[in-house]
Amino acid sequence: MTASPVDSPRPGAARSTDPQLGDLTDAPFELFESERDVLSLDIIGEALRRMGQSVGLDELVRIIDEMGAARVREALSRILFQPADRVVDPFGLDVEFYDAVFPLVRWVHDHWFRVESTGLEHIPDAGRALIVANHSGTIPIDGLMVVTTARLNHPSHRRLRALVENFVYHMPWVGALFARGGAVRACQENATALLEADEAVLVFPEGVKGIGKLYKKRYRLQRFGRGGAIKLALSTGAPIVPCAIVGAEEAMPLIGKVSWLARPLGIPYIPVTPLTPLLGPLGLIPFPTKWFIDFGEPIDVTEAGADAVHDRVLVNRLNERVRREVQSLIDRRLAARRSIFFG
Amino acid sequence: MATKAKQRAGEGSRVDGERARAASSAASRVAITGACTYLGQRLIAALERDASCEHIVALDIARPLTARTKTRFVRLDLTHPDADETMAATLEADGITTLCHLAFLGFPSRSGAWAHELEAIGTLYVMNAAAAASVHKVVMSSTTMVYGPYPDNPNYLSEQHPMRGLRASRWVSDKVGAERELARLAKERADIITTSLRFAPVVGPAYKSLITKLLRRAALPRLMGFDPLMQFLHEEDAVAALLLAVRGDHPGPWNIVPEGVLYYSQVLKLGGKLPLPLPRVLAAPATTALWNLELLDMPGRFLDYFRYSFCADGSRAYETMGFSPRYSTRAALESFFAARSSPARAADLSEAS
Repeated sequence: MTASPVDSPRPGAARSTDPQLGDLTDAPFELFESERDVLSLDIIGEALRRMGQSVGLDELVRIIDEMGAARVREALSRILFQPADRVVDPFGLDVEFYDAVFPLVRWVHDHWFRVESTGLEHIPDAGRALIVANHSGTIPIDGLMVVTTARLNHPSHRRLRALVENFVYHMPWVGALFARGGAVRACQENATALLEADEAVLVFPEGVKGIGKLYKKRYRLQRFGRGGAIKLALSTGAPIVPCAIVGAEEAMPLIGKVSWLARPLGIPYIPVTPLTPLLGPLGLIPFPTKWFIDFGEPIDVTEAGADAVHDRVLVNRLNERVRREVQSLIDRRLAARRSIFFG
Repeated sequence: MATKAKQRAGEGSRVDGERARAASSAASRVAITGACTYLGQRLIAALERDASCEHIVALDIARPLTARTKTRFVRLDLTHPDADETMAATLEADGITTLCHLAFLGFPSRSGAWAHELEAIGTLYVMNAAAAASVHKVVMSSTTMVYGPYPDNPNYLSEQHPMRGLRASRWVSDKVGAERELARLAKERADIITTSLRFAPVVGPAYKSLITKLLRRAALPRLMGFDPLMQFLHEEDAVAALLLAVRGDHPGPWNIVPEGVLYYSQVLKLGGKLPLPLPRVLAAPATTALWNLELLDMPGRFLDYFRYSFCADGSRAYETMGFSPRYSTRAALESFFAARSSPARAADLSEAS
């Protein structure tokens, strides 16, 4: 370890090639910056790093490299950790992460749920659009499948931005993963900003009422919030594309909810599915049902004008119209479906 | 006799001040509270060179390093109960048109009561003095931290978003209190232009605050499972925004933020920091314990700023005020990490901006 003179600027090149060593040389000066610092976190960090070196963590990594796992390790570390050089978009979408986990999600899409989608051409190739879908399936996996099917099958392979419920961001890890994958917390400000940036935004106006409804109420659309989606479309001039997801309801039938334990965890409920009593948390693995995702004709609400946002009766009427549109897409698909598992 | 003479002299200078104010609407006469803060010293340095500024009054408990010929130093302690009267007299005597209120603490104080007197009550006194002296404009430095770290924050907070602060942190609450005092002045006195600049956390080679101190550490706590998006403003951009607000009239609150965001984990990587992953249930009491033992400058509740995003939407300042940051969040951090921490020297502060 070499000590650099106090006054000389930190060598930038040495830093970028070996940041670890760079910090070791810097540490002694950091420590004495203020008397109060002496016993604080810096020392713990320094000690941990030296311990890591003495037990040969570096060596272990080198051996793994020689075993030919270099590429696996590289890929894993780029997925699990966030390299500093990676650029994220203003809402935290990390394209490299998205592309890295995409094969896994694609497998779920192609082989687990065998998703069939129709009407994807109704989503415009470019420019803003608001996709309004029914929400179901206990955990918000339906949004993931809609995003995946659009990425795979849309003529221009659009990346949709899904708006997800608040509670996702209360939960450790889940919120961080969702954000890196391009999901955004559902609120009027975020949705407006995304639409004004000409993104295609996926919303579930039913919200928690939708995914949290019991199995006996399957495929019956809940109230579409307070018309927030309609107001968004009116104020940003985005066309509304109705979307019906069939199959997600049976993937994880909700037979009960535990609320008392959920509240301290900051989530709306702990789902009870047929397999939860047997398998515990593993009961949350969804059944491999057959999924259909149908997109309908776009509904243009711009003729009403941006001022119509304040016309509450009109907003509610349009809201009801979109809800009926989604419901009829669902009903048509349900009438044609023979089996939950084979379509 | 002597006191009478003094009074007359005082009246004389007050008349002079009013005449000066009436005569030169273009030339500004600026008073700065917290003149010894980084922003205060940089502002004085810039105004010393600025021909459109003819007089500067530096108000603080010590003389700023960058004071030159235009600057008159007046010792003022904002925690003193007469601060408003003393200050109003100075503002009137010197014919001040623009008042810059920058007297805020960069670090949470262990003496919460004193900090409250300085920041919240001190701002009340400053606003009283501004109203009594009928200045043309009040510019105040603030922070985006006033919005508070909450999971239900929109990704980009607008200026209209409620300032929820952080109730358990007196440091943040006092800054919200200062904003309220400014808003109250704006409501009561339509003739005074009030500007508040809500800076994203400022970093740079010379700027000192809790954030920069934490980022100078070799290891930083990371709350397991949380990775908020963050904004960091370069000190040069903060000075540039302050100068814009002093030179032009831009009423209202403004988010002064850089372009681009980074995840907290990326910030740690960029600085080559060792992350200490801790579950929040452990991290908060541990941090509070260290704070109580005076080993750490950060109270436990402050950890929420490493848990949830509080990024602000700066488009209004870009479009209306003409603020264009030279550094993105990433560039600001790179500049900060590349520079060694050193005490600020007058030469650094006088650099051209």
